[in-house]
Amino acid sequence: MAQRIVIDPVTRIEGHAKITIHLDDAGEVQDARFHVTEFRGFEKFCEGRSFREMPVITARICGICPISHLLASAKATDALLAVEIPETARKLRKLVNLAQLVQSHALSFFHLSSPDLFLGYDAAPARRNLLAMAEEKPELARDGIRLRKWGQEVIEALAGRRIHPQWAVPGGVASPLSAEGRDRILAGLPEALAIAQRTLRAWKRALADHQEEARTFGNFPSLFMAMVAEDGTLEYTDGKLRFVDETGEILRDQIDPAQYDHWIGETTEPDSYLKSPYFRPRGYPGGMYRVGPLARLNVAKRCGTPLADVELAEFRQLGRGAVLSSFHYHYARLVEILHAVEKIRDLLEDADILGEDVEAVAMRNRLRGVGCCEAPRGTLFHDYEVVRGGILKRVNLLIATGQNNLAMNRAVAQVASHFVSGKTIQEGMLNRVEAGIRAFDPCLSCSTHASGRMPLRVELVAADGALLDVAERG
Amino acid sequence: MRILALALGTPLRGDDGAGLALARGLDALVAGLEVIEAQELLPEHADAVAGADGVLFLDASVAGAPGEVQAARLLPRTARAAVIHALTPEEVLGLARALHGRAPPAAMVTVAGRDFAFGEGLSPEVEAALPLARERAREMVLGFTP
Repeated sequence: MAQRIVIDPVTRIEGHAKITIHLDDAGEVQDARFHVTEFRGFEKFCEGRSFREMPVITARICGICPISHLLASAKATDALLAVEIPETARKLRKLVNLAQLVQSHALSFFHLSSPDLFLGYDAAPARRNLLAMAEEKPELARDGIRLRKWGQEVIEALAGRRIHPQWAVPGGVASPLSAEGRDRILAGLPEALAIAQRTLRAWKRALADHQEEARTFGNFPSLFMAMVAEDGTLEYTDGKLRFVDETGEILRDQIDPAQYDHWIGETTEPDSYLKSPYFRPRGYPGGMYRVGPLARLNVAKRCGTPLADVELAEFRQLGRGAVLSSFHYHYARLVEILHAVEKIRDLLEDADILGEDVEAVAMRNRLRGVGCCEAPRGTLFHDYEVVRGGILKRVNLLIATGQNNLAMNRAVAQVASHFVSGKTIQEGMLNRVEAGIRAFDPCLSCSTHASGRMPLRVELVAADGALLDVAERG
Repeated sequence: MRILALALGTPLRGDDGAGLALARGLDALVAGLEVIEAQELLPEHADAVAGADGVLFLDASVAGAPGEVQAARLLPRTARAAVIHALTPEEVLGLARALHGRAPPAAMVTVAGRDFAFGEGLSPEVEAALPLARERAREMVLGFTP
């Protein structure tokens, strides 16, 4: 069993996962591990570059959420400059972050997860994709494509292009929003809002058919972390951090993101390239916390927009205190889409939004800068240390998917315990394990460009270490 | 008649930019032409396809002698692959039909490339083939009219 980790150089930058399920002597599931075998190395090869290049370089980390890296990086470079960015730039950054949330969540819900959710986990593998959805539920598929397209058009109207834009810069943004761009976004907004509302209605109706998944897909107590505004309202770009426990009680509030390493410890496991962060006061692994849509809705006091606040109140009925099932990441994503569309409208109606003062110019004034924002999958940190000339000597990136690593492992074990028994991998089990992970919308699923077919290897290992069965996809 | 040309490829990989180059100047030959440049076909393109009266997919080809021009009509096909980043033109047409109830007449015009390495600019054979490829594209559009 010395060769359990599979590292494939072809897929190194694509995204690969492996799952190992350990059985006890009776053939029952004892433990399961989720391993990420991709290695990107951005933290290392950015050393020696100028900090001013970082927004452009790190946006390349992901093709789905380049905006998150662009913003976290730009904010870290703002901190190195020690500048207050112009108010219009601050609002434009918020706007683009919300647009990205819409398109990324639409991708997750409609393109990646809807086949499981609406066609069933036991559907033939060839039917578990968006294209089968187009045939069987064309209205839903069409809505997903339209919503994602609108989110991307907002990004394009602001940043000039949809993928890997270079628009957020140290000190602000490179260009203001034109009146024509604003009007183009507003023209598509009513349809986006209608799609968000009817999808929520459809999902709430469908929830009754997913009770078993809601009970078993990562349903356990944990801490939750997300950014909030000063008054506890949901905030994605300029807030402070808050931790709550499984009862919803606030453990720590208004933590300056620059102090993240005081509260969040990072450790690694020998079987995964994904870090395992934890809440320091609770130690490792007791300090397991979740980030992302579910965490944000558990952490925030309110969304701050009328339609989403009504939905949030209903969502909260799913838990006593915090909503604990990771399956409800899907539901949380839909509430967030609705909120984001409402918030985009509010920001576009702001008189400042067309302002032309969008960039503060300064020399480097500090040697360390931390930038933080809420990415679609959770809180993202970029931490840079430079030498006096502005050349990077240390880079630390704390990615949302990593912060969910402990919880994803726990979820995999829970799904496996519930659905696997005996000594062979049952038909349909692989898809449920996959779906359990996919509820978190981990970054590797988007970076592998796969719908319904996350490259995945499941190993069934007996108590004596013997490999009993392997199922592989990819 | 609204004709949509989906020009596929990237100009940063030598002859892979042939489809993009083919689209340039094509509006002089095809009335009502709208061009969308894309590096890959995505589900979103099905929307644009469904709204057109005819669709041209313009691309470079790795098969054939450098500069060889191929043109053929396409039929919609139900996608079998689940990989949404690698839709074929036929699958985009199939998706348009499933989502919107119609797939317009469509054709593919390709120019075979020689060099797909990093770098800008087309091989001389590909450059020389562009007028013929545009002419074939025009012929295909004429065939769209019943």
